[in-house]
Amino acid sequence: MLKVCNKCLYEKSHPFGLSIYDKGCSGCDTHHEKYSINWAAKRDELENEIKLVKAKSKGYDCVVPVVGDAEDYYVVSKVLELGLNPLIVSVNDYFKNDIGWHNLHNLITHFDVDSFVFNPNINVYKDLVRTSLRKFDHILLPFLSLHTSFPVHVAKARKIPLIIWGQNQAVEQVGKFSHYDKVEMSKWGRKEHDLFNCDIDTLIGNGAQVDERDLNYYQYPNIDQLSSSGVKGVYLSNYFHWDPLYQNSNMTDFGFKPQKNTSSFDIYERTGSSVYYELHDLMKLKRTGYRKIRDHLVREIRHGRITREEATKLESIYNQSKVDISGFCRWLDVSDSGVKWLKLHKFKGLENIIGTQTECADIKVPEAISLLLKPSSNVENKFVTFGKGVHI
Amino acid sequence: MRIGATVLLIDGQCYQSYGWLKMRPLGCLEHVIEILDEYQCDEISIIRPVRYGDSLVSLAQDLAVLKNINTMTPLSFGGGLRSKESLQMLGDSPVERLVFSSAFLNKDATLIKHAVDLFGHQAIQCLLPCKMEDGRLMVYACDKGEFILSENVDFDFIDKWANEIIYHDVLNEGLNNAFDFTLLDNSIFHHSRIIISGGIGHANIKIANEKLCASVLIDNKVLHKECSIKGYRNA
Repeated sequence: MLKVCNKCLYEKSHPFGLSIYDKGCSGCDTHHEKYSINWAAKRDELENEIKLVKAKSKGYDCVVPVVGDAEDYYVVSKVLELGLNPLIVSVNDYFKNDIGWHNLHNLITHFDVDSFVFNPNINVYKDLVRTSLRKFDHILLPFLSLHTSFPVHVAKARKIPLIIWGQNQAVEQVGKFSHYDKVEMSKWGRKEHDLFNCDIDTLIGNGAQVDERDLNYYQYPNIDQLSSSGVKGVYLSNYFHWDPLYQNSNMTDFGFKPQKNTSSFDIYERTGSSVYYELHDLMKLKRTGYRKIRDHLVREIRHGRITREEATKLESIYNQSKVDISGFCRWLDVSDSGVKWLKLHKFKGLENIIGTQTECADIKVPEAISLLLKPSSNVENKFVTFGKGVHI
Repeated sequence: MRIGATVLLIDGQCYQSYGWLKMRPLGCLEHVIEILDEYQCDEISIIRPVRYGDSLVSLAQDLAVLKNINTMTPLSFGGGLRSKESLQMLGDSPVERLVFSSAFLNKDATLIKHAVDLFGHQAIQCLLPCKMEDGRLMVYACDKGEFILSENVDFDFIDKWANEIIYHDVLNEGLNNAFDFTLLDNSIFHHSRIIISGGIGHANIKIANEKLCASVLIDNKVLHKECSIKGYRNA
């Protein structure tokens, strides 16, 4: 049985699961649907849904969960184009850098939309990050738990009938469903894909030092009540031809600031995070055997902007890029001996990647990609805990 | 009429099948069952899509996953149940009903009688993966990996030994409202013993209800929407 797709770079062991065929894989196969779907008809389907929503809603029509990256700009621009009145909901992950806060604030002011930034209890949050790193080699699980549940709580409490997400990662990466399935947000999908089967109850286990009352928003609402209240979540990637690099490159027109990235050519996705392409990327490598660059390369292979051979070479180059863990360790108040322990036990075998990020030597990407890369900025301040100049 | 769901199990992981050709990965069986339980599904049919041969080792691996399941929903299990040894292995699994296909097509009365002795007649279901081709019913023989004409199937044998018969539309699985009801046209079985599966949607459920079918098994669609079963129940 084949273990690696012969069209892209994904392996059967992909964390979302992958079916490998004689030619391609479930992800490549699903991507191919994009060229035969009548997208105008798909948009009509969405507009019909929206008519029903607008008839039901009394204030905001929808909640749009954001982190402030380029995809969020695209989603908000589409939501407004569709005539919806959105409430933008963001969860502070306490990992943003100056570019992240600029992009989030600019998103709200440029599109002139109402917003709600939730700042979870930072002490509980840090405890959960610590537990998540220790038990699951993952530092974003607490944030992902909140990001995928808090907006749902808001929608339910404020009787906002629709939640609009950007892409469905499980469809885009491994083709878990067909675009024709029009899969909606669900508790199962959240646990299986967004949280890698580790919801907050699994995360804390039964020896937690956390008061369960502090975890309410980390948990998904009761689905019976949610479905009775009529709240549902849809993914825009089921209704629009989804091409992240192309659509994200146009977001600079709205004031989005791309960030220089030494771990990938993609300067748009998850821009503004102090950990995403650093410690999180290192942990991803440990858990899954590959870094974020592979997701980007696979996406570009499928969009025909790079060949599989070129992508393989680029992956090996980007895989050498250094990851700086010192900022995160300071943020988590890890002592010097703690850092040594982490390097010795947690990051064993990955020591060669830990270091200070340096300006990449000029890595050549194919022209079809470089044409979509706008000028990008350097980060000046990492781990800006709150967006209004407050640090703890 | 019962509203159930079908889940495919391969190497301990769940999959969805589209048109009998393409498999899509679904994920962890335990979590799928957990959520279907929460959706208040009436029954869950866990099928190992075994084509051609099978091994007891592979069956044992899948059963090990199955044995960890905690659910209040009745489970049917099938795929690769081709010997007395395979039936013995089901002893401590949370399985309520057994699904046989090859055993019925091969008229393996000894095996089925053994299953009846172990689980009772009410637990025996016959799965007929089928399609219409040029107006003729074709049934997929899993152990041979090919479709055979329905003339070569002994429906009286099935009638005698099976409590319920699952007509699974292989061409339309994964689609919405696409179940081909002509598959049931010349069926000798009373509809109260028939379960339909493959491409089931709301409109199909309405028809199945009118036909007084025993149950419908929703394939992939069941996880595409939150609390989907409630919607199907109100179809």
